This record gives sequence, C-alpha cells and structure tokens, in this order.
Amino acid sequence: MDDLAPETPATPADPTADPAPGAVLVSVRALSKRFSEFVALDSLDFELRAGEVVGLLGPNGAGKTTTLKLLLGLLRPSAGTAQILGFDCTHDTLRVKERVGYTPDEPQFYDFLTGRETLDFTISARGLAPEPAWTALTQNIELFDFEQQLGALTSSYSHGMKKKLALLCALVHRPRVLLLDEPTNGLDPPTALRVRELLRREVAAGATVLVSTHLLDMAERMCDRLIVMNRGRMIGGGTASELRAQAGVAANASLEDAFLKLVGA
Amino acid sequence: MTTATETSRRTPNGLRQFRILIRLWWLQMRRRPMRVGEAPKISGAPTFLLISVLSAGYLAMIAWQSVARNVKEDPGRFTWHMLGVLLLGFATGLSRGAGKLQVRGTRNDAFLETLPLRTLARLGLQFIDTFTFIPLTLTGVLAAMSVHGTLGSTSIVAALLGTVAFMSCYVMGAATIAWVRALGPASAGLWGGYTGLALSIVAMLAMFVPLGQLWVGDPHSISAQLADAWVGPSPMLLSLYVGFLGLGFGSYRVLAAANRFGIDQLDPQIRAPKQSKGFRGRVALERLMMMRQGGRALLILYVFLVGGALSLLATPVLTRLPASSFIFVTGFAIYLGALQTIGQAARAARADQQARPFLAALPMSPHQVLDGKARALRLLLIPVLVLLVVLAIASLLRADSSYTYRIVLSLLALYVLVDGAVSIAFLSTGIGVLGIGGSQSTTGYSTQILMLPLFATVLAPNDWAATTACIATLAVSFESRRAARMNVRWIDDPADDVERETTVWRALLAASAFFAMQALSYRILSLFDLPMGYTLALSFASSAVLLGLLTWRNDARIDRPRFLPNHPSYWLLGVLAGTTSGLLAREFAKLIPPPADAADLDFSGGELAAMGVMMTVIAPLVEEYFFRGWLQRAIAADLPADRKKWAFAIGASAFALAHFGTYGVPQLILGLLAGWLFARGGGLWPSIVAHALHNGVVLLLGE
Repeated sequence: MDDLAPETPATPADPTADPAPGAVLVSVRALSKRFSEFVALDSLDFELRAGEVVGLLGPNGAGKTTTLKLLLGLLRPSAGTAQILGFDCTHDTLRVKERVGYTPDEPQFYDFLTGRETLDFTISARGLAPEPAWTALTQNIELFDFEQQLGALTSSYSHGMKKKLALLCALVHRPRVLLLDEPTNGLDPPTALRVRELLRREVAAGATVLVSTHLLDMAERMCDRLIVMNRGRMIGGGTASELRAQAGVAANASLEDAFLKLVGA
Repeated sequence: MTTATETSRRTPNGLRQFRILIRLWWLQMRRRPMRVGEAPKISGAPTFLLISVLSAGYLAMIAWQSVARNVKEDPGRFTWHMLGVLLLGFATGLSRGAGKLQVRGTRNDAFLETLPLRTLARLGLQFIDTFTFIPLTLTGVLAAMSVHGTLGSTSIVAALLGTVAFMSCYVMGAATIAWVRALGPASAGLWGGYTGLALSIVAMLAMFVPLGQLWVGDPHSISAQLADAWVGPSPMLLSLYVGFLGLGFGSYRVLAAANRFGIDQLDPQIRAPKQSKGFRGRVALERLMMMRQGGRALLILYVFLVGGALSLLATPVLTRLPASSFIFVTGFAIYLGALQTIGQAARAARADQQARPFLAALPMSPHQVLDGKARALRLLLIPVLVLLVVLAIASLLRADSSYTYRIVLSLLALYVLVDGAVSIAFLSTGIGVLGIGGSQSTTGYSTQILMLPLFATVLAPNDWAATTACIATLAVSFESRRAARMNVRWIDDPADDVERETTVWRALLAASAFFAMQALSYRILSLFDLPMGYTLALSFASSAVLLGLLTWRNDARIDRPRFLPNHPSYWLLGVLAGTTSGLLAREFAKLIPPPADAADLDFSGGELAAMGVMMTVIAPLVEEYFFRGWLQRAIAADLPADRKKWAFAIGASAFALAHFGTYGVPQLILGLLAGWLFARGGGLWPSIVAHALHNGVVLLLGE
C-alpha cells in the first residue's frame, strides 16, 4: 500500500465519474499481439459501453484469452492500445487492476488459505474497508450458496467451486469493468443461471462485462452483443440476429450455424 | 462432488492395509531399487548438504577448540546429551512427517495422489534440513567435547557416527509415522505430531537438564563407559551404529514402496482449519500461511532451542569457557535464523507462483508483494532475534566490545537478510521472468550462499573483516531487492525484454561468499598450528577458488569477458598502471600504516613464497576475472546508456570496499586504472598484469 501512488481523484476525463449508461468504459484500438512468428491478435478494435454484456466468441486459439490478458496488462501489445476507464492497460497496470474485476480461465488460489481468508486477502490487497466489502459480498455468497464452503482450504475445492470463488473475488470491489474468462465453464446449470442473474444486476448498475466463451448457447442468452474472433482477427460482431445476417443464414437458424459459417468450418 | 466440509472417510480395516503395505513393499524390493539420489535432487539438497556439512564441521571445530581445552569431562551429562540427540532425531522425524501429512492431507481426492508420502520419503532422505541440522550440529559438538583437546581421527569418526545415528533415527521417525498413518485412524497424523513434539521436549530436557541423573543412582559408572565407548568406537558400539543404519535403510525402503504404489490414497485426511475470527489483513494472512506451511512447528521448536541455548549459557560447563564459546552460540543462533528465513522465503515464493492466476488480478506492486513476505517472515524470526539481543547484553556485561560489535552487526545483517532471501527466492523461482530460472536447486543454491557472510560477521578473524562481510550482506539484500522489484510483476509475456534480469545481485552474492569463505577458512586453518604466512595464503587461495568457480558458473548470464586487448599498447599501459599504483600504495603505507594485525609478522622464506604466489598470481587472476570481468560489466549492463561509462568507477569503489581492512585507498587507485583499461577495450590480461605488478611492488618493497 505504501508504494502505491494515491488513487487519482476523478477528473472530468475519468469516466468513473460518469454513471450515464452508454459511456465508453473500455476502448481497444488496433490491438495486436505477436509471439515471435505467431500472430495471436491482429489489429483488434472494439469498445465496451456501460450497461452491456459483450461476448467474445471464437474457437480455441482465436485470441480470446490473449485479449483479456492484454486488457489486464499481463501481456504487452506488439502494436495498438487498450484503455480501461481512461487508463492505459499497458503502462497503468496497477490503476487498471484497481478498477477491473477479472476471473482467469483456470482459477488457482493459495493452497493454505480458506475461501474466507482468500476473500480477506483480496479485500486487503485492494485496500478496501473490510466491513462494507463483506456486507456487499454476503449477497453474492448467498446467491452462490457458498457460505458452507468458505471455511475449507481452497486446495480442497473442485473446479466449479474455484470458479465461484474467483467470481466472488472479482466482484469484491464492485468494479465497473468485468473481464471474465470462461466464467460458466464447469458450473452446473442452476449456478450458471445465477451467474447470468448476477451479471445482469451489475450491468443494470452501470457496469460493463466482457465474457470470453465458446459456449454459444450461453453466449446468446447472456450477451447483448457478440464479437466473433478467429485466428486473432475479428470476423463479425453485433447482436445474435446481426450475426446471423452477416453469416447469411436464416433468421431462425441456430447461432451455432451462423458461428460455424463465420469461422469457415 | 465431494464437499470440502466432509471431514472423514471410510478407511479399509487395519489388517487389510497392513497386508497391502507388506505386499507393496515386497513388490518394491523385487523391482529395480529407486535411486537414492532422486529425492535430494528434488529438494536441491546436494548444495545445501555441502554448505551445511562445511558449516557443521566448522562449528564443531570451534567448539572443539574452546570446549575441549577447558572442560575435562562430565560423562554423566554427556550421556544424557547423547541420548537426547538420538531421541530428538526420532522425534523430529516423527513430527516433521506428521506435520506434513496434516497439512497436505487437506487436499481432496483429486489432488491427493501420492503427494504426502512422497513428501515424507523425500524428507526422510533430505538429511540436512532445518530440523535435522540443529541436533546434528549438537552431535558434532558433543563428539568434539569428548576428545579432550586433540584433533584426532577418533573424534572425527565419533562425530561421523553420531551423525549417521541421528539421521537413521530421523528416517525411522518419518517411516514410523507413515506406518501408523497407513494402519491407524485418520487422526494418526495429528497424534503423531503431538507425540513428536512431546518427545522433542523430553529430548531437549534430557540434553539441557541432566534430569536422568536423578533416576540413575550413580550415573558415572554406566555413562562413563558409554562416553568412553563413544569416543573410541568399540565393536559393540559399531554394531549398534550398523544396526541403526540398517533400520534407517529398511524404513526408507518401506517409504519408497509406499510412495511408488500410492499407499497413501487409502487414507485421505481432509481437515479444514478452525474458522477464523473476523477479518485479517494481507500481511496477517501471509503470516498465517507461513504458519500453516510448517512455520508453527518451527516456531515452537525454535523457542525450545533458544531456551536450551540460553540455559546452556547458564550451566557451569559454559561459564568456565572463554569468549569464543559465546561466538559458537551466536553462530548457532544465526544459523537457525538464516535457515528459517531461507526455507520460508522459498516456500512463500513457490506458493505465489502457484496462486499466480489469483494474484495477477490484484493491484499489488512488486514492492508490496515482497514487503508482505518480508514482514511476515520477521515475525517468525523473533525467537532468534531475542537470543541475539540476550547475547548482546551478556557480552556488554563481559565488557567485550569487539564481540558486542559483532553481534550488533549480525543482528543488522539477519534483519536485512530477510529482504534478500525473499527477493532471491522470487528471482529464482522465475516469477517475474517467465520460463527463466525456476529450478528449486537454483533457489537453494543462491539463498544458501547468503548464510556465509552472515556467519562471517561473527566469526571473521578481525572486526574489519566482519564489517566487510556485513556490508556484503547489506549490498546483496539491497541489490537483489532492487532486481526483484524490477522482475516480480505478474507478467505472462515470454517476449518481454522490459523485465530483464539484472545481474549485479548475483555478482555481489558471489563476492559475499568470497569474503565469508576467506574468514571461515582462516578460522579453520588457525586451528592447525601452521605458520601465519601459509594460513593467510591458503585461506585466500580457497576462497579465490570459490569466487573463480562462482564467476565462471554465473557469467554465462552475460557473455564471457574478453581476455586479449584490442591493441598491443594496452600491455604497456597495464605495466605502467600496476607499477604506478604499487609505488603509490607504498607511499600511502608509509604515511598511514595499515591497521591489520599482521603488520609486524616475520615471514620465513617458504611463507614469503606462498604469499607471493597468492598475491601475484591467484589474486590478480581471480579478482580481475570477478571485479572487472563480471561485476563491472554487470553494473554497466544495469546503468542507463549515458551513464554506462561510469561503471568502472562504481566497480573500483566496490573493489576498494572489499579491501576495507587496509583503508582501500591504494586499491581504489588500482581499481580505477585497471577498470578503465578494461572498459576501454583492453581485455582482462593487461588489468591482470597491472594487479600483479601492484601486489608485487607492495610485497617486495613493503618492508
């Protein structure tokens, strides 16, 4: 805490101060990432606005996780920029992380802490006041029916339980931007439904959510808008019906058909 | 799905488990034996072993000298000490194994696999670790105590046999708990831990308070025989040792069998910790994790050991001793502290690497990550720091100002070392730089070198050398912390050249090992009645070999230095530089005579020759190879482009600081000249020539 610059006060340029729905919270401009010869991401452009859930769709290796990691500053872009709430994702990593909630694809925690202690750790590392943070958490814990498991060491958790804990951790500071990597993978249908409810609630409060997934069903039900990626490029975007139009399939065709046509499989 | 709150599981009945275990053991015996080398390789033990054995031998010799000369014998006390050591070996094996099982057993079925027993088997084999080493040192000391002042082969054999006996007992303890756990109820691990702890306490009491003498009417008749037997290995005692060894080996085979076939899956033990009370901050949670990862048991044991050491100070045996015995106890305390620090730092770094997906999303700066660990670690160090403070006060009472100064130095060094250990652990596990470093043996190797200068702060032959060692520790801690702050970021990018490795800390670590080795080997050599000239030359040569090896091994991280100059004129410049600085050094020595104790020594011809070889051949080669070939270039690599040209001056200052004991002024001049020559493209040879000439002039004209 000592070393961190004090949180910058909200300037007019800082969209955190702007609760209006439709404000741009995340903007990605010509973002590219190359791992030596391999092009993981090729000139990606998109914006996320307050009040929407956007799905990042694509087959394995399309660049979904790379995009999320670039947004969180875990990778450095080869070209282009990404900004979250006005902060550069590459150079202002700490400020970005302060404002973003992120769940990794494969959550891992400290083996020697319980779920409750992991949440304590998150709250403390984020410099939040414990009391209000826990009050806010209670609602989510009840939603996931997680109270029972909080006392166990995380090393005894199943994959689904780790996913739930990762979501709880990501929501601790009520971020306005949520980056979720495969959030419902490994969750049972009722829990997946509750995750959707939860995200809806956050979005209604003015947040924006970027969900990376390859589960088309879930994407259609959960997201307002979809971004379809293949081999690091954006090959389509818009609502589910717009995607069907782009792919040239019938309006009542399944999203899967549209998706397969778009990625050229 | 198994829920985490499930606390027990049906276990097959004991007899069946026993049969399975025997069967597995038999299968194992018929297969190709598991190589013993496997386990230490996992833990990075070989280098640890080497360093530990060196320090053990050293500590034993110190005790030898001081104890044996002043205490004739006290066989009754000695026997109880010896029995205590053996019992402690067994108990630590037991509680160590149980502790691991208790913590590791919290994993659910999917994670359980064969981990606990593998850990155990490894622990059984990892002879020298935090727990084992301490009693081991005591064994060596006890063996030494019984030698009555001579450094004979008998006493060395006795010390070795004592070590073997201890290790065997340790493996037996670990194996016993594995058996009990395989056969017994789920709570066996827990009770094994309590039993181990209780036995440790009994053992400590037996060692430090000769309670046993109350129970045996006339202890001298029995124990005197035992003590005699210990000193001169009689056939009876030898067979006892062989028996110990056999039992230890057999126990190891059982562990190996169980490990190979995953017997532990029969009995998963899922324990949830007690519900925590209220909110805990990050540093408190770091502490909690360290406690759960073995820190709790360690802390308890350390309190006992510190208590024991203090009670030892109060016994009549040690009050008859000279100040050097206090040095022994201080060395012991420092060893405890350093081991504690290094082990826990490595565990913390590994835990962070494993929890990386969780940590990557949190807004924590590298400084916060490192600082959290260091603060948590210092809490665990409290017993050792208390011991050092008590020793400092005791030394004040004895009005021994040199010793007080040493303790204050080592207190400071130990406190700062925590930062260094944490940083090096993080740097070595390759958290910041993906895919670089990462092997555990590297962690062990680097951090364990850190212990050497710590020792030297207490054991160096004079206060100057102690100060140099302390400065080296501070420098390494500072530099490694700086390197870690640049590296410990949660970056996943393999192609990221922003997070580059800074090599200065590695160079400083090697330098600190060099100073420490010099001090330590000087002490060891002065135990033998060698003429001073040989002692000096040999101690320098041994540390030079170490520095040369470390340089050779590590400079692969930056490309190797050039030896030949760009232009022949550099040879001439080297000769000029060496002669000039040598003559200047001579004038300087006339003005201000050096403070070293060796000022008025009268060397014989042979000694002069040895000193000559040391000063004009070994020193120039190794020191130039290190100071110019590695340190100066590491500094240059680390400086921004417009200031790279000043690297030679910083390197020369470090070189001068290393010659602190002679004020360093002549060496600063030599360092500046040689460093400048090298930086200009002169290669290493002209600098070596300059160095050799400088030393030659000082040696020949210095009278």
